[in-house]
Amino acid sequence: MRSSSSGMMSLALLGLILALGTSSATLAADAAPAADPAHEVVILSYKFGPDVLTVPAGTTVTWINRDEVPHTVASSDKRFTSSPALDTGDHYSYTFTTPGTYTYFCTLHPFMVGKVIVEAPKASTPTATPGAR
Amino acid sequence: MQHPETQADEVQNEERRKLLKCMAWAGAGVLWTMKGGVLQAQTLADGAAAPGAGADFSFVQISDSHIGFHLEANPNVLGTLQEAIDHINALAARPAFVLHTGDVSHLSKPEQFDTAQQAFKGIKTDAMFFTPGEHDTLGDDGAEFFKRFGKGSSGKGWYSFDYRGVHCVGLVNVFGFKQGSMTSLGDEQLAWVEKDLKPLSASTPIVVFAHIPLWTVYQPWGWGTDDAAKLYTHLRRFGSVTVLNGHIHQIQQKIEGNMTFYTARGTAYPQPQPGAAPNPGPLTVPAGQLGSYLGLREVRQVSVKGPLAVTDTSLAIS
Repeated sequence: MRSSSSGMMSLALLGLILALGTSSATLAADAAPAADPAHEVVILSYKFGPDVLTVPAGTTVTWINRDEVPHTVASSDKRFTSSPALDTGDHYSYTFTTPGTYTYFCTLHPFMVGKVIVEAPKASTPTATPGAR
Repeated sequence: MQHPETQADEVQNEERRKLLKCMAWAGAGVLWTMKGGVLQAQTLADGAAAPGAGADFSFVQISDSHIGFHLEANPNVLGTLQEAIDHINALAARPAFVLHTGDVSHLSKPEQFDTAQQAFKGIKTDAMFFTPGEHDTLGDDGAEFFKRFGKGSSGKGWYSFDYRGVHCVGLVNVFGFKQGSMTSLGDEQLAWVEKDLKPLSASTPIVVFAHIPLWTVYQPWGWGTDDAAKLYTHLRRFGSVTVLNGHIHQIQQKIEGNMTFYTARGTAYPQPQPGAAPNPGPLTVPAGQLGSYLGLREVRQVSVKGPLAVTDTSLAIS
């Protein structure tokens, strides 16, 4: 079991972040609502799964640690906010707004490497525009 | 077809055989002595070398206590640390000092360090020396760890001390993680080592300790230190160099010239042998066998000019 104090701290942190509304990164314990599985990376057996995740811009990606040891999610080139150490069952989320390829690794086990590919939003369906005359 | 009951009996007998085999090995214990660069093993059971006999002094290495870990591989890490402490306190010769080679805590939490510190106070020895593991430096670069266990260190936690002619060097290799590679010591620390060792004569016995192995045990799992070769250039001129590490929760050893490398068992949980599983991580062993995979190490300084004698003791010895 996680100690209640650390659980409380995580929830308090989450509350603070939500209240401020300025950060796009959140950390939560098991109590957090489940993320959309399509935007989820499960950390298991010292691997990020999937190791390459492709999402449209504006997507919140959630990492969940299902291993018995702590892991981190750290941006290789510091282009997104790195997670704190995630204990078993901890979640970490980040919203990617800018298209690009974001490589990350676990600072505790640097051979664990993953990638999030953020694509530009699909061009909206062309609609008939009255031509200027 | 076997009768289900017979099958169950056989499984039970097989487990018992395995356990007895394991206990016999663990109960005997192994004394490692080094002569002319060759490592020799003998059992403690034959009485040839009672612990502490003929030694000027001895010290003990413990490692990887992971206070705060609570999963299946060991739900009672404080209990097994306490067992290790009981073993230390029961040694025939009181150790001059105790080294802890890191991962005192599982998640660098103040209460985990406090719990460990409280337990360490029960060790009958004159001093304790520490080096952090990567689990001790999570989130705060080791601030909570160094507050309690970093007295007298410089830079990012490295230091050295002398004890009765032996020069001991505590190094830190848990801040140099880079994507896709093993950890490193870093140039600043290596420059410090060079300066620290410079005034010493080549006959000074050297003990170097750090958390992650200072030799490549298994690169795919990050079980090594990238710039260790640079460290060796400063150590090669010495006649006796003993390198002690933790991190991999099992005993591995290697000799290179006058340098002998050892990794220690942890007091918390075992890990698979290099490459023996798809990934490293806590290994759950059959009930009753955990003690055989955990342990402590006693190093006897037999004579200042000779090599050190190293004895590993599993917690299964009672």
